[in-house]
Amino acid sequence: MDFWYSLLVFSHVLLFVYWLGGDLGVFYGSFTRNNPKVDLKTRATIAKVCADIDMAPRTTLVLIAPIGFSIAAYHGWSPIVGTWLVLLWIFSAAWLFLVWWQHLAHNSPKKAFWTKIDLYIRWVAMASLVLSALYSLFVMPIYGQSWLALKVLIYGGCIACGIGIRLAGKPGFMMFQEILREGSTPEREKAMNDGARNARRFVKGIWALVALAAFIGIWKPDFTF
Amino acid sequence: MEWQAVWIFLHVMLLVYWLGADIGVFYCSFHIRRADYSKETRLAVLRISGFINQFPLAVGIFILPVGLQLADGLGLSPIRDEWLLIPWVLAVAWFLFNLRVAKKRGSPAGQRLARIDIGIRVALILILVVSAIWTFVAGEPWGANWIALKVLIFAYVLTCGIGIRVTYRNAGAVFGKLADLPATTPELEAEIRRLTKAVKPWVLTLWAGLVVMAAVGITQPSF
Repeated sequence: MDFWYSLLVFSHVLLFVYWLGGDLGVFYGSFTRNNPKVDLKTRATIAKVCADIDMAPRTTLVLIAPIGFSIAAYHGWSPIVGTWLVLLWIFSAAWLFLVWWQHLAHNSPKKAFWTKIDLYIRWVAMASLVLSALYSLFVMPIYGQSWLALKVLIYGGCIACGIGIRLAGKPGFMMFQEILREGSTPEREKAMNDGARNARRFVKGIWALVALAAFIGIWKPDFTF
Repeated sequence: MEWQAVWIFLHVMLLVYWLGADIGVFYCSFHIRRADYSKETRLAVLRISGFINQFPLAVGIFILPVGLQLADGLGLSPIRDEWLLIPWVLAVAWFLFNLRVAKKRGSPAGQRLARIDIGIRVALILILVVSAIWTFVAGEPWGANWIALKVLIFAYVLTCGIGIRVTYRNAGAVFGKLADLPATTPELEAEIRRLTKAVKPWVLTLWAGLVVMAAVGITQPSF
């Protein structure tokens, strides 16, 4: 097996491992973070621990695109080749930098602006992936294999769930900040937990989709519509 | 759909909940040793770490029968067809035994059970090492050298697991002290630092073993 190809496949598997596996700690930790019986200082620390561990899945979501498309290009199954593939790598590196910058720049006045840009990137990426996959499945096979188009569609679904987490979880996240600043009340705790519950639906959605994408990648079913 | 795809998927999923989950445990360890945190905070992080750590412990048991299923699918395993039921039954029994070990942890009975568990691991390591080396020498029982290499690395990973268990054998008592004492002491902090530092090389080399195993499984090198 070609060395670079092996490295790409190996990286693809490792990214999957740290995406789904890393999420476990974040998910379980979020229950402690949202527990009103736990003191606020502990909850703030757990929130930080969860956010740090969450950088594993956040990083893998970004990196899995250039690596996945490079593997597809190696087989001649992807329309993104040559310069376009190089551009995808550069874009992904910039996006990854943005994702990490948002995590590290806690109190930067520019954070709100760049968070919005990051959200726009996700909307555009999601739309591009979903539309190209649907086009490939139903109009013209721009992805050389139907299972690959399905994987691209599922990846678009993962990004959609990520947007869902951001939108559905935002009221809960803001309320958690308010609780840390002004203290816990039953109303605030309820509002925060409602937000967290809504966000968790999307988290479970990502888990199911990521696992499904992995299974399809291993199975490689041949089908047509 | 081929069953082989299902076994590969399960094999990768087990790696997810071993290597991937472990990152949470590892990161939590840095916060557990933070003496500037309150006792409640450190114990909360410890609970999260303990919860996540159950997954790698279970996975380490079930990855062997799943791997044997996979090897059988490739025609490279000496354990075939209905004989595969034996490693599955043994794995379930070992898993249930490990649940018992976890339940009794901290008691004299728990210590005895933990010693038996380490005995089982040592016996398994010996079987794996001998079978792998014999394959390199005589071309059997494993049908390919890369599978034998994976078996050998798995034995190494199990050895690292024993290293973790032996290094962390007093962890229950140490963290129990943290929970019971009204305030931490310099001696206790030194003990926590010593424990978490001593276990790190075992964890890191175990991860390296898993990563190399995955690389060997993907590339299936011929040698």
